[in-house]
Amino acid sequence: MNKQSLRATIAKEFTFLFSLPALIWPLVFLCVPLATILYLSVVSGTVPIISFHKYFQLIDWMHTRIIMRSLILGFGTAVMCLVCAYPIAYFFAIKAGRFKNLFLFLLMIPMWTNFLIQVYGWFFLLEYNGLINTFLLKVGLINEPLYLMNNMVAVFILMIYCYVPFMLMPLYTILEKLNIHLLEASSDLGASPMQTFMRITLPLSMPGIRTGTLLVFVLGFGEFAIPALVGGGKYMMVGSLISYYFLVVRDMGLGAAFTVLSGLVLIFFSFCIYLILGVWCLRDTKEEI
Amino acid sequence: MNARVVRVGIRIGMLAIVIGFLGIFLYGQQLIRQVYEEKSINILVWPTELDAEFLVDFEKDTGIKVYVNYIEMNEELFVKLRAYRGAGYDLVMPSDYAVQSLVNEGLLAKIDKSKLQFLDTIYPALLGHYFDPHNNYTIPFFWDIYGLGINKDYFEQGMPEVSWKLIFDPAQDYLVGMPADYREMIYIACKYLYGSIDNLAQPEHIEAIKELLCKQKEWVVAYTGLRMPFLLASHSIPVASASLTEIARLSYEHPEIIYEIPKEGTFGIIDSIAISQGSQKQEYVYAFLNYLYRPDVITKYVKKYGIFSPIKGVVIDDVPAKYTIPTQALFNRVDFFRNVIDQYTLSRIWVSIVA
Amino acid sequence: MQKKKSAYFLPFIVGLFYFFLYLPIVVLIIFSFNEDPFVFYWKGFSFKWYMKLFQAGEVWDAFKNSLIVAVTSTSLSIVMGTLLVVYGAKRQLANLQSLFYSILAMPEIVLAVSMLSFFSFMGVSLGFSTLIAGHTLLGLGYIVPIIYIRFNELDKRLVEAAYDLGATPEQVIYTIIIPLLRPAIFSSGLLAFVISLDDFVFSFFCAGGTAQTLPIYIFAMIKTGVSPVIAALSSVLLVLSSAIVMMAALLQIKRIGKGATR
Repeated sequence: MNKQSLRATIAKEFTFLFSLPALIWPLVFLCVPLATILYLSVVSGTVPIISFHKYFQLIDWMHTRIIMRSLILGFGTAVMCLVCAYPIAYFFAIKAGRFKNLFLFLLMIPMWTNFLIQVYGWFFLLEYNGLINTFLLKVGLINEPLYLMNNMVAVFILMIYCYVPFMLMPLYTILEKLNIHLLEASSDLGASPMQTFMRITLPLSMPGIRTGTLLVFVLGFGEFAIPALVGGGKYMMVGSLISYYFLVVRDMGLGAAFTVLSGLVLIFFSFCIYLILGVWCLRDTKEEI
Repeated sequence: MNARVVRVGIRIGMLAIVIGFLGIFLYGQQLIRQVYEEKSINILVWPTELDAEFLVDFEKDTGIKVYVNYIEMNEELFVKLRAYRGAGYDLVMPSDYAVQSLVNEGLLAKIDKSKLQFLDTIYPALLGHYFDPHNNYTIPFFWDIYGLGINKDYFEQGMPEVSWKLIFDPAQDYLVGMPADYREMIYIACKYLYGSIDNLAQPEHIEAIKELLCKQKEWVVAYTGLRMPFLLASHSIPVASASLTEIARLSYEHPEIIYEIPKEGTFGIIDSIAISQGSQKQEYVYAFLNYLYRPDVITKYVKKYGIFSPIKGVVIDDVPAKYTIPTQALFNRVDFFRNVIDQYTLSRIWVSIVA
Repeated sequence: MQKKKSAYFLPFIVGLFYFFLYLPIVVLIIFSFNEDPFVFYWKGFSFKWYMKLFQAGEVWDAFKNSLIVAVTSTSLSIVMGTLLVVYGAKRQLANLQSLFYSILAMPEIVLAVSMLSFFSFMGVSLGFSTLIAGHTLLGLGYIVPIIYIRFNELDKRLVEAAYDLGATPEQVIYTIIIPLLRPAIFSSGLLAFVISLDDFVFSFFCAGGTAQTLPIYIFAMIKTGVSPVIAALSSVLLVLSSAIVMMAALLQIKRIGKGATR
């Protein structure tokens, strides 16, 4: 091959070169690290023997409780976010009309605020001497300040506050694509608003509900900052334990094993949710059509 | 040559180039640091005891740049020192219970006392403790004693006996605050149950401590280190396990909050400054130490962090004097968080409590 | 009668939602002007916390670090992501989208912890580069899908027409495709930028001591309790992010005004 055609071939391969970095980056920084975690969880020390003893160390009631707590947190947050976000998404997609863009814009500002600042603002509200208690005391609804901080109440409020956007987006996307004529037709045919909702809107928006629920469930499962900040350090979640094993105990093998373990549990439950909600999707659309 | 082979070869070559760039990107900082020997020192400190603000004058006077790095836990210190065999950092600030392990691993350098000008200004009560009897490796920098922070007003009807019982087994119905550090928590529980920590590692002791702390969870408002003064001052809780430095300053602004040492005795902590074995910049390090322990410098960060001074002659005006001077009598009542139990067991206990 | 009631129900819920959404933010802004630091009662109007904020060197260092990381990682992801979408083999790209989606769908802590293990395994010291690496990864996860979707929506006839008129592939890419993709590039880049500024999890694990970003600094402050300096900082950041959002919104409106390229 002469220099001329070599140069030409190289020039042709430039497209490959340009698309290469973006391919390599996730490979090196996502796939390889995940493989490293898997590796570290079974190989400890300098001797490359595969042993699962780190996993056995983790199979006890203590860790199961922690994982269960995170599952409940993730799923509970997803359900509550769904309840909160659905009316809003419905309003935006179907009812808002002219002011839609203004409302969306107003929605963006709190969402794009730094998450820690949001937490901090809630501190002001929820603390023992915070605004909510002061207000309720002044108005006379309660005699003693409520304990709204450093417990699961605060954790759930914060989780909902932070994760509603994640639920809102998929819901809004799917509701926006909803054919308004279907709703109109339904009410023309004599269905009450509730019936229209239950038999048309809800089933058709199921894919969005499924995406949103899965997203909030998965992200909420791994959340560690919120329980650490407003939970008073009393509730160990999967995220806090992973952070604890990696940063405090500094046992990479144990941390890796626990990450893999909780990852597997998470995948399993996500799959279950996906299947269960998916059945609903399919069944109803089949029926309607 | 086959065109296909050439193409594959070119692609592999491009792959190598990209990965090469990535490698430079990731390792570059390290390489630069190793090559470019600046007039600087790296220090590793607790964020609540020292930071860069007060070092500006030092840098101006001597031209030595000080890179401040922070740690949250002593274990972090170990990892960071071990990682470069002590070469990454010049000065570190280990807590008392970490010093022995560091010395045993050969990570600390002996201090040349002749180069230090301030050693006689240090309170004698802070020297010669179990972890470094002749202070060959460490100079005390920060000291603190744990105890109970109590809201006097809550106990108007009569102050009960000051004992750890007030947080572990309260006669009345109130919430308490506990430290977030599992070492403090577990050691204090052991002291309360058994009077001393010498037999902490025994299984029955561990079980009893676990039980006590789990039961206590019901009336613990939060496990926190840094937020304790706030919780006490806002009257959310009447009693908390807190440290002298936290309560003493609080007392000044909120006189109803007092500090007491429980009758069973208590624990103290001394964070010291030590020179790491791998440090190549001895001369800068000693210059820095002489600067750090100057009374005017110590006054500044004592004021900022609300801690107490390790040297005599520093005036702290917003705290009653009886709190600020570490007397031998005071330290006689104080035990330290000695390494009587391995860290793995300790952390397992804690996980089982908060799980 | 019934119609009237139910017609107001939904807007009421939405209003409540907005109240819930804005409550902590408004509270923060109001109390950043409060005279008294400790107690939650209004003691008087004062700018002193803002003064303290502007004097606090650490805040500006942290902010500077955050900016450096955000700008670098966003630029990297924009360049890499655009090149991938424009130059990448189309069939493979469609399959690769799931890889990029999975970056976002994974709990960040798993990503951060894996990268931390990887870095300590390979002996890479934690610092700016590791942080930028993580943020670029996140950025790619946002940018590539968005640009790809927009790329697919482009009117292929424009490209065909350009080729018919004799343009070389390079010309087609740089004078037609990229300008058409510009809004998507811009909005996804903005998104990645803000995400990077805000990011807490990655910085917590992969930053090391030297690259303390603003969220980490705020986290450390929050741990100590309630400090009005943070309230002042929050208001400043709020104004900043609102400005960014407004800028993005205005550009959207301008684009619609000019007539979308469709």
